[in-house]
Amino acid sequence: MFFQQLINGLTLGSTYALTAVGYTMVFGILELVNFSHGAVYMFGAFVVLMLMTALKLNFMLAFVIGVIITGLLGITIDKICLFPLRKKKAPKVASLISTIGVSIFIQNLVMLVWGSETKNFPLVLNLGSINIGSLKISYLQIIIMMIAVVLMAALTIIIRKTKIGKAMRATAQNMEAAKLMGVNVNFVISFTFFLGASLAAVAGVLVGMYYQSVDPMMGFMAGLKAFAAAVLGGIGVLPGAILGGLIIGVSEILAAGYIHAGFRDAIAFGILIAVLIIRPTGLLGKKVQKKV
Amino acid sequence: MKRYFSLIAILITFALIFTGCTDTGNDTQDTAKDGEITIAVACPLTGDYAQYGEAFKRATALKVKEVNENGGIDGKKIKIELMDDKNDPKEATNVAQRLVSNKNVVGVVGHFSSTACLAAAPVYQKAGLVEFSPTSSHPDFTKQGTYMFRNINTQEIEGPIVADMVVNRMKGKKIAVIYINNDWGITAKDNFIKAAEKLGAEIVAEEMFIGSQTKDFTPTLTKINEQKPDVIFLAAFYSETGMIAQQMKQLGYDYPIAGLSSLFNEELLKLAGDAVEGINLPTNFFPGDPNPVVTDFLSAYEKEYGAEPDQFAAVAYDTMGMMIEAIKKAGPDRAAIREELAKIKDYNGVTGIITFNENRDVVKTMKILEIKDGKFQLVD
Amino acid sequence: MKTALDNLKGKSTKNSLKIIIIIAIALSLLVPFLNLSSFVIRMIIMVGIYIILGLSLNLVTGFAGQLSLGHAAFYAIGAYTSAILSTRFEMSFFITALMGALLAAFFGFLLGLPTLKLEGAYLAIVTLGFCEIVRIVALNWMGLTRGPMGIPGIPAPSIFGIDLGTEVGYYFLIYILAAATIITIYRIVNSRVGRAFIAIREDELAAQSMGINTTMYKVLAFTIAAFFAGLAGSFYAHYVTYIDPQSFTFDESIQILSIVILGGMGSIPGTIIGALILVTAPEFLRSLQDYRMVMYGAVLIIMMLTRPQGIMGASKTKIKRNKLASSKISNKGGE
Repeated sequence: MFFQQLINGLTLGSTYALTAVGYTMVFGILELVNFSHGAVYMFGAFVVLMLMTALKLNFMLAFVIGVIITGLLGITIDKICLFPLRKKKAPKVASLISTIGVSIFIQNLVMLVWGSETKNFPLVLNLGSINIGSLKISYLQIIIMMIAVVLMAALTIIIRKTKIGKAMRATAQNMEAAKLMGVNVNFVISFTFFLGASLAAVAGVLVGMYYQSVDPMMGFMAGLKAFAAAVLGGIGVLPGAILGGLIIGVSEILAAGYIHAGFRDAIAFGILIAVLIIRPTGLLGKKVQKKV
Repeated sequence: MKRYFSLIAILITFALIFTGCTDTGNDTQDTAKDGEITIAVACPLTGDYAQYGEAFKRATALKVKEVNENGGIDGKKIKIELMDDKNDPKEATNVAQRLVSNKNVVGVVGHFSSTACLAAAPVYQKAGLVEFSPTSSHPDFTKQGTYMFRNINTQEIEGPIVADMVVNRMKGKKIAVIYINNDWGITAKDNFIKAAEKLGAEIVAEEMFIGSQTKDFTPTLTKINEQKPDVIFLAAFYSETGMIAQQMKQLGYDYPIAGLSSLFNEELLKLAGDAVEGINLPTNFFPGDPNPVVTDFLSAYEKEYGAEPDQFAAVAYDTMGMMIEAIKKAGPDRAAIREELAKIKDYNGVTGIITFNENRDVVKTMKILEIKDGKFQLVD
Repeated sequence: MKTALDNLKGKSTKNSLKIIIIIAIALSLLVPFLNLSSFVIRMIIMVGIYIILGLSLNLVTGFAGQLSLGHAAFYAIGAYTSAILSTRFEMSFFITALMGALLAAFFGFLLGLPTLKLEGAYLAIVTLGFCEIVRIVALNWMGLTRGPMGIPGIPAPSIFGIDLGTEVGYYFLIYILAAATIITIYRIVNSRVGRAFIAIREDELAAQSMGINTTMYKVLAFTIAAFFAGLAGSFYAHYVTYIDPQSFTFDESIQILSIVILGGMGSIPGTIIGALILVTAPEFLRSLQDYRMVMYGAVLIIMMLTRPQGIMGASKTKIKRNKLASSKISNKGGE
């Protein structure tokens, strides 16, 4: 039973990791706690589902279009709700509240348009599962884990090796200086939002497929858990998001399996708090040198 | 200084709007003037539970339309005052306060969940306005006061029916229980366990989950699998049941599932397909019922909305019907309506023959359904 | 900040401000006798509760600069303590409210401790996690809190045998509590302690080198804020007479934070206006039915866009860009 629980935990953890990667990337560039990430994640899953059911597109096509639409939504959110705040040099919390507003807006809009009930998400990639003794691992579980790792690696390469990645790092370090050096800061930020939102959509679709259901409220808890995972690993650090996601997922499942199902989220958050008290910048986060 | 001016400006605006509110409240106190009778429907139209509120909204509107087409109540048309409470206790009390302050409102159909009903109950009781909930099954709800009514069997009545179904029909000797951690889930589970143990069954596992927060049931199911139960009993809503059934299938577990009337919803079939095949459940309302009251309701609802009503729509339809029945006898007087409502006997509704007991709780008969070939089917 | 502004102003504006305040107080004392509908009185009482909650959070977030996403936790602790003591031990409201506030303050002290080291997003998630833990404990500890069954029948407050469970009674009770909170917070903010808070917000390192015991002051801010939130919780429990864990979700924390931000961080009148707007807005929007929450989201965004520093917030003269670029992006060793 323990190993089965471990597998359950790793799968759940990789869904968190997948969501947390997008979260942590936007934070890394803009230092913005983006509360709309959960809603965007839900929106991505819904758009793909609607493209498949209403327009009868096949899965791959719907997936690609849906991810792009969601990416564009990310840019729109930034342009309408965050860009003006940056321009006014408003306090960070104002942006935070603005993203909360976005999250409420998107969630309720989706509810209005597509209804609030839980919807079936077809299991397109029905690949069966492997049995090892009494253990059971489905291929979808493995795929989710693989995609989380691949995305992380791809993002790492983009950020470290490409030109746009260099621009992103420069923007993150000092927006003004980057601008002076000829970096098109606005484009970089839009690109970051596009990437973050499309990653959220990928996560939303995969998680929707894994649970074979989507609902307008699905982003809320997922958003919180992804936030927790990103912070646990060290926010802004990509491998940290994966590590944090897996730790939170496994501790949650083991808590539910061996301690008490009602306290599973409390225990996951408890571990998070304990880790942060010992390591205030998360597991892989670097100690920040304070500037005077 | 500019800041203080804006402060004063805002305060004045609010003061004006507030007085505006009260003015309209006083203006419309005279009910007979516009020849309308106002019944409030309070339910969640936004938030996690909006789909149930939508069913309330449609079904009550249908009932009112039917009555109005047949001349209304003594020639007066009925008007619905629709209120969104988001299924949030705080908002529900605000709505309640708003409704009791509005002298036009003679009765309230709502609210949806017990949390909202209980929070709002003191306000209605104090003002003497009937709060007739189609769905609150919390045992304490009708104990809050004489103006609280409900139109759903409490778990004290449903529990033994389901226990009989599980132990005798499904031959469950070892039963695992999964329940939603809310007031409804806990009372349902307690009443079921009490009745099942009386029938000689053994409860081998008791696991909870938190509604609309838990999506991954694999740890719970893996744990239950260790006990090898005969039947898994779920005190859950249909959306979670769909997920539980699917995750069971993914984990390769094959245990018969029993549920409560909360599962009777076509969405469950769409949601989980063949994973929910073989689930047993009781219900008050079944569209396949040949009873003409039911078939008439069905065709009227389908004509109006192009969809089949679920049990929430059905029970809201009956609740509105009974409310109108009471108003017909009592006239637009809040206290008299309460008296007449309590007296209603053998109301022939779409959810069965309805009578209140002395606690203003209803007692209705139930039918047993099974999901077979992707459809809900009546068994014996 | 505020005192500095006051000093800049001439005497006449100061006097006219005083007159305005006196008139406002006189008018507000008349409110219950204006023959307003119960609904309006109820809304005013709810605004009063959120003024207390908002001001207490403003102390932590607005003045001391520590972002907290878990203020509902203290609200819940106050409400539950008060509800349990009064329903099981039949204690009077004034004792239970004090106990609720003190217990909340104790937890505020505990939560304040880890903040010594944490900042920004890290602190935010700890407070958020704490709030979730409190709610989940309330949901699962059946023996103490009755879990999701909630606690019904919480008695109305009374003093010397006078029942305060009437509209007028509740109105004056929340009036006194809110006024006490406003005065206390005002005095704190304009004292040595308040200046220390602001110094920490503006630049913690500099504050430390000026000899301010930042540790102590941060914990103090959390403790005081939790005390008042607990007080608001106690009042809420005795006012609504039924509480359950659903009343204290993360949404509640967000609502309180939105009040502070909307009104303006570090502004006391701002918080009062913020509470007024955000508590009543859903009621004004209620006629929109299904569209209500969509509009609420839009209103929140628009308000932030038009006045990011909040309605009464002073626009900052200097923004420290280099501070924003403190904890940095990306991979280990990414330069």
